[in-house]
Amino acid sequence: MLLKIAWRNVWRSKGRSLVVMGAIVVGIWALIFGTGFMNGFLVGYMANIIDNDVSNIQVHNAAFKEDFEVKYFIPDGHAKARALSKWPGVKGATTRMITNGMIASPKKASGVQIRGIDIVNEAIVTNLDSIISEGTYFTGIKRNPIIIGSKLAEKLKVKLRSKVVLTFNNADGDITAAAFRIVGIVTSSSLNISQRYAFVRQIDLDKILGMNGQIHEIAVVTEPRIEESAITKRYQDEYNGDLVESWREIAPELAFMQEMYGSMLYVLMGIIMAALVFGIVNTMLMAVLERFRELGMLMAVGMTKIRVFIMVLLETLFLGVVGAPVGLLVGWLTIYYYKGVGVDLSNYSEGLEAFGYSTMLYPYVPDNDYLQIAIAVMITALIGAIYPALKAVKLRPVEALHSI
Amino acid sequence: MYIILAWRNIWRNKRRSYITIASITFAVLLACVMRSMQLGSYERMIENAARFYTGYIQVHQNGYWDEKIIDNSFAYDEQLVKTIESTQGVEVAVPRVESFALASFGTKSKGSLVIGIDPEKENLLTYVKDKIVAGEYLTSDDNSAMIAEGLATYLKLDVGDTLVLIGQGYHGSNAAGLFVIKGIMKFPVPNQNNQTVYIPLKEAQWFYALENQITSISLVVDQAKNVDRIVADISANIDMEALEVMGWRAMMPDLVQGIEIDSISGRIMLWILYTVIGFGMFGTFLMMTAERMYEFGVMMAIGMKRIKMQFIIFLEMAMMASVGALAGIGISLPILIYFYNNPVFMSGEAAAAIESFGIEAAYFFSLEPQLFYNQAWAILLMAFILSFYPLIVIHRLKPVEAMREA
Repeated sequence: MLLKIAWRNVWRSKGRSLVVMGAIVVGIWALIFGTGFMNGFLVGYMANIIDNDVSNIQVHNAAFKEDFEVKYFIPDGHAKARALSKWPGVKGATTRMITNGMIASPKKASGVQIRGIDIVNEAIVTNLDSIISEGTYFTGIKRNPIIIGSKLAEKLKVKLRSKVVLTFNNADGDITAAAFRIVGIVTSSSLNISQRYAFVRQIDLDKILGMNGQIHEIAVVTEPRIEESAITKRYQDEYNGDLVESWREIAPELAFMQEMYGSMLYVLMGIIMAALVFGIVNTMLMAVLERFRELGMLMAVGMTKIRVFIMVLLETLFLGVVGAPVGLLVGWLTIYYYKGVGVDLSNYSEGLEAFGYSTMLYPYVPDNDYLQIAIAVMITALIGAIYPALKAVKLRPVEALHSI
Repeated sequence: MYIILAWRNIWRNKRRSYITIASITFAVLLACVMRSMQLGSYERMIENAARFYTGYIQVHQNGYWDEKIIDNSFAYDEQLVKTIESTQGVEVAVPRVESFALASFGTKSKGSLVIGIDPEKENLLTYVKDKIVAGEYLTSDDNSAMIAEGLATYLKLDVGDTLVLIGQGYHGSNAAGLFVIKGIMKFPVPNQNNQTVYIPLKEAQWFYALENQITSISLVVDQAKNVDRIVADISANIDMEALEVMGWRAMMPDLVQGIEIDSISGRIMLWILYTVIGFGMFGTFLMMTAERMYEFGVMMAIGMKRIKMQFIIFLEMAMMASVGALAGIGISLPILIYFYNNPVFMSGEAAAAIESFGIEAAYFFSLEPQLFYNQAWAILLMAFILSFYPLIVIHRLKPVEAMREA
């Protein structure tokens, strides 16, 4: 019976009810959009680094990580990479021949990591071909083509078709040098790609390095939302002895950012919820005070205080129950729309583009979060209704009767 | 007259007024807290980055930053140091000699970054004394060295062993020296942990045949926001042909990038907060208007002009909003001062991940006066816009209906 009364009360005063429902809808929308936005931000930043640079998983000869000497290659590297690319959950695997050395132009010299890549698989794993800002992805120059990052090109004062000389120690320990011609320039927010790497074809590098085809690094990219640990564990079981790491170990600063953003998000959500509670308390309080004659009358004709208290709470609950789905829908629609179109951040920052970030942000909310947010907001609303409900109960029926 | 009327109206119904003022106070409080946290985190990021190595400002030879070679060193002269240290805002001027050398022990050798330091001053910038894990910290008269843990492990040496350093000195001279390891330090970032060797400044100058030259002076300043002014002050007083002065923005463009990006997300979160707060305030105003319909109806029925009533209501809201905003700042100040001095420490996995970088895992707050000012104005502006709702209601009011409705 209380339920019926509470329900009818809600619809009796449409204006007031709409306001409280509105607060709940806005609260839910704010939390969904906030979460989606922050996630999109973080994912965008991390994706840049993971997709283009570090990849999900890397395999090395354990000794190679300590001492970057070319003799520490991965035994049967190519066979392992081929097998890996067929595993479920793996989108692609590529091999790299790596050595540290110097790159020199007529104007300047700089230390680089020279990466002999498998052109086809590298594109699958790191999308290197998609971040080319000038030139081509290894087409057009037949002899010793090389791709470097935009910052390195700037530092060396070279451009397309310029010649650079790579100097390094070959597999026998002798210093060798070879001339390469720039066939493409890549732009990325990753400092490694932009400044520290030089990409050449594995076959070209092998001729000078003398590795006989052995490689130092296997990089693996996984299908979306696959846990890296499943794959690293399987690799360790099958090919014991190699060092296999996920991006969390290779680029701990990313895990760091993820944690920082995550905890920041919680705090910000907390603040928004506090704002929401207050909005509800305020509005419900006003509503209760506005109804003091009605509530006083109810108590005068015999409604117990507990029942009045529960009635006010129920009204808020109903408002939440009606408002929450609306809020969820509005929130979901907003995310859906922006997920496709992307939020254009270029108004906010010219700096982004210059740093190699894309200015489009794609919000992302995991499905569980929707329900969690709705429940959290409902609970918040109920808590917000307690104080006004208490106030309602403290009203004196006599005063109410007097003022009619 | 209107002001007195408006003021009395406010206090006639204390409860309603308190609720209205409270909604604005709370709005200002929350906005200030959020903004303080955001600004606090940027201040911390800058401090962490500056104290990591480069300092807030560096003075070095013109051209050194582009080509960090030993030949681009400059004279460590008393006059220069005095000029720099007497600039307002500069707390410590930390001299360094920095170059590469091959570090060798037994059969192993590795490229290392050799840094000649003034041990006491260096510690004031990078707190390197806290990073000692074995042995002891250097003094300026020692002829020993401190080595990073990663490098020590690779070379398989310990405190008491003698390290060989070989490199290229000033103008191509040969640099060779023996240094007893006095202490081992652990750096959180692997790159640093695998290649750093510290020796006293005098030893470094001897090693690289530098006489009285150094490669950089790094500065600790009182407040990060004063950096631009301090750079300008110093540049005005020293020989700008020979030397260059760079602030952290020029030295760490990645950090600028990071803060810029964070700031964008921060601004959007703030806007989301404003939306929620705005709605809360609107709800309050709505209820307040509904409650007073009878009063408005009566006032107009007995002859008060519509516009005058609107004006009075507007004044009421303006006054309540101002009181609310001031109260909001008044409450947020002590709270934020407390948190400024006692940052909130995080716990759990998140904290561990952050601390592994040598950064304190805590939420820091800023007491920048601007933030209070800006947030209060933003909320006041919102209140101003939302106050049009009651004014519009009055505009459409029909006195008889209003009195009946109640």
